[in-house]
Amino acid sequence: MGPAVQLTGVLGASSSPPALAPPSPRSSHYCSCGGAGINRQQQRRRRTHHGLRLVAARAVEMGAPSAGAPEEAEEEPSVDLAFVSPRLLPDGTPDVHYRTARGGQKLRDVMLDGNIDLYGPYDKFLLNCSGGGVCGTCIVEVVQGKEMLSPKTDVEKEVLKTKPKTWRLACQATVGNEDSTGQMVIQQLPEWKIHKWDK
Amino acid sequence: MATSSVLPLHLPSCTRRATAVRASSAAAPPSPAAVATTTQSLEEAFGRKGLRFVADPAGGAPTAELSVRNGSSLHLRLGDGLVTSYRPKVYWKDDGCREVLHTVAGPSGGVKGGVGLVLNEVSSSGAGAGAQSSSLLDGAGWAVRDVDSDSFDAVQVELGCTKGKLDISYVVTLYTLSMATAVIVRNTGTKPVELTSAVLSHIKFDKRSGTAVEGLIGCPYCSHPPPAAGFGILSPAEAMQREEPGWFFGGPEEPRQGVWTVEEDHYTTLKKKVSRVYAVPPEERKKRIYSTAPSKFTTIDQYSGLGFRLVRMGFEDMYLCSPGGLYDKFGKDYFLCTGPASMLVPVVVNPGDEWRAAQVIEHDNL
Repeated sequence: MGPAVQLTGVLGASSSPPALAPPSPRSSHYCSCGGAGINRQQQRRRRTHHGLRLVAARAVEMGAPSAGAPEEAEEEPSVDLAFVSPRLLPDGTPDVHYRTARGGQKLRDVMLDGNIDLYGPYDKFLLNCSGGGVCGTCIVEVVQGKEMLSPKTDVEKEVLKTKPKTWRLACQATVGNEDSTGQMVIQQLPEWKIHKWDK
Repeated sequence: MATSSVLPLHLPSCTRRATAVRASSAAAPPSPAAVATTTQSLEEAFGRKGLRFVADPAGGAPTAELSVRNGSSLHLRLGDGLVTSYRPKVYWKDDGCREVLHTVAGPSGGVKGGVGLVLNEVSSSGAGAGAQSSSLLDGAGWAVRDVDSDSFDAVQVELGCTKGKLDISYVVTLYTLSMATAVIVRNTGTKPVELTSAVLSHIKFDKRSGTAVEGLIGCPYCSHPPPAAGFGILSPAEAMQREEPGWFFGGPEEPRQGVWTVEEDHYTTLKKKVSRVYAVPPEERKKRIYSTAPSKFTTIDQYSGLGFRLVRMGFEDMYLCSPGGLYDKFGKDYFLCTGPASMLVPVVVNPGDEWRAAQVIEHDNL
């Protein structure tokens, strides 16, 4: 489902995958996203995806549950999302949370329903426009899966004129439609993140 | 911000045992002379700026005292690896350190509470009697394997012990704004091993009515006893005892054990007695994809205004227990017994593999 994305830690974490070599000089390999729900067959893949490489850590290797068909016929179609927090965990690994949602909704709704921090310090009453498209505080960065989102609206183009092209307003971007399936990696609060994404 | 709590020190390799000095086990209180020599040899082998080894005046067990430049300090009892005191600097005053951990004097002169590690091996007997778990740490003599420090802002002590085919390392690190406890289990045998583990911290609060935890909204929880721990202030049976509703009409009744509900509040007030595990239910974990539980929460103390963030890494669940009305049996401060755990679903460590997990207590109060 697309290439695995590389995450550069500004801390310069450098080590080899945990299974192979002694611990790195910089970080340890505690993995808090052990809960990706990737079933037992993907355990090995999951371990690799948390191995740190020289100046790069693979943040998410979502490895499609099965190569071609998304899911079984009984399960209703849904989009899998991985949300990455702007702050890394104390050991340098990314703080990722997984959610799954029906397509067709705005990304803002998916994030608020899943209790994912969208607004950061602007979460309080009246500090954001609650989806009106006027305040520009619901910025997210789309790391992977941007083809699943609706195209940028004029409002977004205006507000995000000076920002990187991967940034979107979550209240304006719709995640696919009712039958969409797929995976996306979203970076929360990109203005506050301390790591970099390499493609 | 988070940069100050990033671990700059490497976790020492467990194979380095050249100068392992055995600390006396808590089982048999050593004679003062024996303790003095042990502490002295520890001090000679490992003492450095920010790390001292002293014999605890009360119990006599050797204790490591870690301290960093900004005044934060941590006391680690070497016999059983219990952190008995953590005093980070939380106020911008000269003596602005405040004790975070709650301890009570134990029956035989020891201390209960603090931050400790629980590690149990789950073995299912073939005759269908169900899984039994035995503690891996009972009677284990922790030996100081290695220390590391950068002389200013970080000190790290690694304790190790070997139990059968498992090599267990417990690394306690002190930073300027945080402290981390990590466990590393290596399986050197030929058969896979199933473990349940928890790091339980007893955190002190000023008053019962101002105690809350933030950050667990949306996370499923169920009532569950804590793992049995020698250092625990509340035993599993005591923790699960239901309290009289009394004056509390607010809030739903505590769910029965095994019933999962979802946390609906941004702030979980902890006036009443609860013993909960916040985690993704084990059945959910078998699905292709499920919503992950929060990786951290913040404790709120309305009266002191301080908050401490507990971060779980490598563990799957968060255990949270408040003593409710029973707290005054254990001292005059209210406290919470909380921490990350992997207790609902055992962790499988295959031969040759290692399992790592950690808890970090950090704060932004400065």
